[in-house]
Amino acid sequence: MGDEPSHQIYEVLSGVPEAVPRARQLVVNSLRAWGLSGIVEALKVTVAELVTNAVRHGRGPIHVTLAVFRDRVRLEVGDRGGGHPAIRAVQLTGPAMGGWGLRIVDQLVDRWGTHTASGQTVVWIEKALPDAS
Amino acid sequence: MSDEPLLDVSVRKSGTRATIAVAGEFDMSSSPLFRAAVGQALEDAVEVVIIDASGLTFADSSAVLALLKAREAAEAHSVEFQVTPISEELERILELTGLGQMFDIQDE
Repeated sequence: MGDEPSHQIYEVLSGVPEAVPRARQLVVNSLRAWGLSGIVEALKVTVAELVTNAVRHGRGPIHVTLAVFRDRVRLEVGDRGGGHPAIRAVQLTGPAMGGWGLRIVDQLVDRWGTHTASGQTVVWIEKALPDAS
Repeated sequence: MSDEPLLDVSVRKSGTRATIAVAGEFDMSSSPLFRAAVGQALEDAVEVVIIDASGLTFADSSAVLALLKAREAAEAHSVEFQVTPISEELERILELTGLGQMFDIQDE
């Protein structure tokens, strides 16, 4: 864990729905530029779900950080709090319909978690690089 | 990034059937467009609404949510609701949500 990233990109987005396609584009373009096309499909859905949650439940601007380490990629999505990221029961009807975001993420990545620091709620994920095991 | 909508929504009416074709990227930023098109079709007193999702190049849980809400709205209007055909991207996200069986998805 103490290793330095070989590539890293960071962007701050307004907490509006348009942040979702922007963040997706950032992740897709960066991974392709870094020669990591093999994980684009999983990561573009993952970033969409995390930024969607930040827009829906969080506050303030959304920070997206993508970093590549020797054996894995790490994505962090943070906002100024308000949300309590957790897998909740799926609701199929009514106003609280939903609950799939983190369930989807859980299936696409190797590890994920949340932390709160200096007024920020951050959800992070890690996924192993295809040729590292 | 341009401000062009990422989702194209087109509606075709034929008798009492409305076909709403969605193409492009379907996420929370594009779901209001879809919701408006479904609402309009239901106001037009159709009997069947068909969502042609074959042109979707991206879909996430917001797309699934929008489809479920559209289905709910159709049921409230006693309108039959089908999603067919679907793209691989939508199929994949439906698998990840475990909701594929929630929609009347016809094989081609």
